[in-house]
Amino acid sequence: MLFFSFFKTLVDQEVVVELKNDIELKGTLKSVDQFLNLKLDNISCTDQTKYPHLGSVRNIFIRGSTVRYVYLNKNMVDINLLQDAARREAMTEKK
Amino acid sequence: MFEHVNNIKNSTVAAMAKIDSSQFLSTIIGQNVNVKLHSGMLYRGRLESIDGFMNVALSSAKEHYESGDNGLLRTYPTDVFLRGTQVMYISEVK
Amino acid sequence: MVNQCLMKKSGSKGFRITTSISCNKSGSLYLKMSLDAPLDLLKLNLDEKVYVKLRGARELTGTLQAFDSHCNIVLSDAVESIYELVDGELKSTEKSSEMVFVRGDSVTLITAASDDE
Repeated sequence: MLFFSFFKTLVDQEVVVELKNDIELKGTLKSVDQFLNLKLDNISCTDQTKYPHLGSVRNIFIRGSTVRYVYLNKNMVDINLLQDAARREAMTEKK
Repeated sequence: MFEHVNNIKNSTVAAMAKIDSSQFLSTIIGQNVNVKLHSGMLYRGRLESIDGFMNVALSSAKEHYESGDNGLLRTYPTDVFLRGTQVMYISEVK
Repeated sequence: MVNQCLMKKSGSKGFRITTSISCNKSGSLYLKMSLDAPLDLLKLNLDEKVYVKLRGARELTGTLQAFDSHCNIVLSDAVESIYELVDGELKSTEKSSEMVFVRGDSVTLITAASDDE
């Protein structure tokens, strides 16, 4: 649940998602679910070669399992909060 | 000290006769093992710990491709975590 | 001659630690502590520089900010190296990012980063 909560804190922020087929999309994170499926709004491309056939797409639903990376900016993340949450998650999973 | 070594060795062999896989995994903790991943990478090191997902921690791990005869790609000075879903097999190095 | 050891479990706060006394080739004894679950290794590496090997000849080094049991991770100040064969020549491409989430199913190996990376 750690990363579900983490992505919920990123809603309405601009992120770049890289998929396992090398497609790269920039957009505003609109929603996330427990599988880390993502909904992005206002899609634009970061790199024309990594953005095939998506010119007219404005918003998109991404199946979580196809994601490789999500690039974020540092200022979107409270590092101390995140590390603490990770430690707590590690504790609870042990029981 | 070395009597102990032999006792551990013998009990491992005796236990091999009728054990299930999870028991095997616990008998090889502390032993030198080979861990092969789906990618073909082979890791040889001391098995520090293992869990039910086959996640593995190795110390003094050496990395080879496919076989230990194929030349050393890398040595890891610190403990290495290998993800369970990527593991093809774990075997004890005799 | 074998590196072998006696195992003894001891409880402590949060971690279950295994202490082992090992004997090396020359016969001297040394004490080693190890953690009971592989994922504890990641916990120890939180806020530390780590090296992550991914599927598809990719590597990342960065500071570990978060992880879970699927090996989903967040790294800060990450450098990704992608290795490709172009006309039989090994080519590596590097890419930096200040903060990146990596989905766990791409991860194959995680360890502390050594200084040369």
